[in-house]
Amino acid sequence: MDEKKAERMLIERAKKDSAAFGELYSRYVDRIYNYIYYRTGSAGDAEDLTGKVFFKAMSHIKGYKHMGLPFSAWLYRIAHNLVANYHRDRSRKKEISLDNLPGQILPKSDLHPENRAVHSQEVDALLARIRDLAPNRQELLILKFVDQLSNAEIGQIMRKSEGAIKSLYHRTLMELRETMSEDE
Amino acid sequence: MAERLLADDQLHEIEQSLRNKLAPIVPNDQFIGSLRQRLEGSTIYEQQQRLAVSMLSIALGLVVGLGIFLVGRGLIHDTKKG
Repeated sequence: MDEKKAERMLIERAKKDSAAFGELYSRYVDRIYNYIYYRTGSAGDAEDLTGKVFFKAMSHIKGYKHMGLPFSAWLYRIAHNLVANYHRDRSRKKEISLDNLPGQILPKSDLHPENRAVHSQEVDALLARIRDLAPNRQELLILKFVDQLSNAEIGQIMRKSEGAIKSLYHRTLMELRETMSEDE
Repeated sequence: MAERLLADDQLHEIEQSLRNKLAPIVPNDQFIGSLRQRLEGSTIYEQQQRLAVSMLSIALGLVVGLGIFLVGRGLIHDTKKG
């Protein structure tokens, strides 16, 4: 059976059956968690907000209609709005911290402990620069590099054309280049 | 031309850096499992069904009440005419 058709059938079942919703959850929880983690910088807040995303999705899934966009786009939209509320409520920039993570970053293989420490510092520095970007640019980079989505998929989530995403991506890289050269 | 090539190289380097350093996080297994249990054990669907039944009952009650009111008013009106 076509994968998209199978997912649409699962979504219809999930409107009435919480076990079916649990299957949907399993498909998307990692991606949503990653998106929120990189947007908030806190593993604890990422867990809290991920839970809210899926409970909100469960409350509203009866009204969900397939409009040609993937189901994940709907989930990302819920996550985006909750993260925006989170930042508004906190109204301060969060420093990205890689300390005290209950989860783990998928390890880079063959890194000497010294290199691993340097790598971690470089990651911190890069994430700090990313956190200075506008929210839509942060979102783009997370969807592209963490969730590894194509420009077309990102466009569906961010409600922009593929061309607009390519253009935004290029401008984002230019902005990162400028901020990184200011640091040097 | 050379400047353009240098700029492209720099952008490519940044892209590589992003590719190497932004990695998916593996969330805590316990968190994933317990959230799934909470979702599957949730009574959201039953609550929504109860709410829908309540709203339907209220709507039906209002319609029946309106019907009784209109019929009653009609009867009284006919009685007064007679």
